[in-house]
Amino acid sequence: MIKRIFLPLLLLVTVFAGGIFFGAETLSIKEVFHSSVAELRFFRMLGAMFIGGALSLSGMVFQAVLRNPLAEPYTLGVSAGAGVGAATAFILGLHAVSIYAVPFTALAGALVTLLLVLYISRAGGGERLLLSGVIAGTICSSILMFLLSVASSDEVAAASWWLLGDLQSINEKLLFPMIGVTLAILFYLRWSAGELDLLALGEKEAFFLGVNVKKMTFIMVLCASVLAAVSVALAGAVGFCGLIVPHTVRRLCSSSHRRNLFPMFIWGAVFLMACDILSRLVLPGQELPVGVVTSITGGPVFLWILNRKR
Amino acid sequence: MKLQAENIFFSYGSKKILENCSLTLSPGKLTVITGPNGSGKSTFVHLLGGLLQPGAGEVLLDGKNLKSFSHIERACRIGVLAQEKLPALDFSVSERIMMGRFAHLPRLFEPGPEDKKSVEEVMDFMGISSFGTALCNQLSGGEYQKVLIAALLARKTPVMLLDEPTSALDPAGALRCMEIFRLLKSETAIALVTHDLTLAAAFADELILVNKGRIFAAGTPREILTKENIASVYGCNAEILPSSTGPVAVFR
Repeated sequence: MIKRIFLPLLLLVTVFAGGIFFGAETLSIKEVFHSSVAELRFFRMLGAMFIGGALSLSGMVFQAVLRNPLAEPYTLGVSAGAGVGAATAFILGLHAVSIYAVPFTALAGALVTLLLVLYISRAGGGERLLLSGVIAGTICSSILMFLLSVASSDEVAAASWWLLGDLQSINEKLLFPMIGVTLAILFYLRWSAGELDLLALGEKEAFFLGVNVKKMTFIMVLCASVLAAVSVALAGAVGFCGLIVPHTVRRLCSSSHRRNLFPMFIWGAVFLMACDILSRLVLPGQELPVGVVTSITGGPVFLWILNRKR
Repeated sequence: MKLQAENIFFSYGSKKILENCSLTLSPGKLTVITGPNGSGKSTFVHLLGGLLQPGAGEVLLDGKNLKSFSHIERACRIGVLAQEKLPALDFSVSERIMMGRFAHLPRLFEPGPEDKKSVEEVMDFMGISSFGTALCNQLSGGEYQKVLIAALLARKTPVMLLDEPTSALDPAGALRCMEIFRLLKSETAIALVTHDLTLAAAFADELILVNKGRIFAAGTPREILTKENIASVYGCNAEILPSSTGPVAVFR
């Protein structure tokens, strides 16, 4: 329990505090309690915490339900659908009209893609779902490339920053509903962790062990996709988090979702917060999109953990 | 507890898989189902376990149609060992066995002492205590088969259906396994599918020979394992030798 929950929790608090102190300029303890920069950083870290946690949970669920270790939050085309929605908002200039335009069009794009994938694959099992998602993602990516090819250079620059994952412009008013959704799904997943374990064994095995396979697969895919969609709507397509955190936590802790669910959320949060701090510190006077840092740092760490014995 | 199949039919589209098959499983009797590849044995097990629904006829559990049971109610009563691949995720051996007790586990809390004791007991019983913390994906096919059997035993269901439980086991392991089923049969209704006619003859109280989706013959091993039946079903000759445990078919 100490190794599984309390140590990661301690790390979470430390990294969260570090994210408030460190950035383009380092704040003193007094400034932390009285400056507007600290307030901005607080919400940014809160966003990073829940987006990292949500993407990790989403990847964990997809890998279990689709029984594919390479599945991740964007496997079912959620990211590409959100990208089409966001790019449309940038090209139509909606981002200049309202700060809600990009998150809402991204969310709409993600959910429309998800519903289409679920509808197309309704008669089949996990394999059909996976294939439908991959094809939907490819089609959305093509539409996205088309939109970017007809956009002006300013629009392309704005959209690219978003597409790489961006925690700078997190909308505080949208953050709290996202936290509510994430916490609700987190506790539902803990309630259904036993079913998730069995779905990871296979549809036939889960059925014989007492799971309503069709219903639970649908609910789990919906939960994972909603987690991915709300994260993408808030911070763009932050890559790699939903792939490497689940693998890492399984190695460090356990593959049983009864045991690894809360550690999964905590480590996901720690990972994205740490990457966000790095994105502010690597280049003096300049910030990198957090998605670039998650990919660059996550890849080697993932390979190292993969080659270690549990 | 009694599990009955009454005149069940099953087909995939226009392809008939099972026709007019009936069977009764009850405690005190070990039923072995055998037959050539593709004869419908696994489909029969899937129908008895509720995974597939018969096109005609019905499966009854203590006189009630199996469809009327909820998923959890069914899982508490019927344990099925299907032909299972290694899991996609790295579950440990003890985690995989504990999953067998899913229907009994608390949702929000860690498994209780009774659950842990059950897992330890079946691991001892199957002789796999030494690799309880190993990952399933690191085991050989035979070792993983023992884990699956242990997971089934941990469920303590009154009905057990096993699809080729001994296929990946060495002779000693297969014998140990069959001895366990013989011990359990006084309180458990058991049916198992196997291609091993020697084991079937030694342990079965009732042997069912399935061919082309129909029950070709059913009875005691001595009644069923005859040169004529084997020639008709497998299309090859065999000599039937007597032994202290039952008839032994030597294929030629």
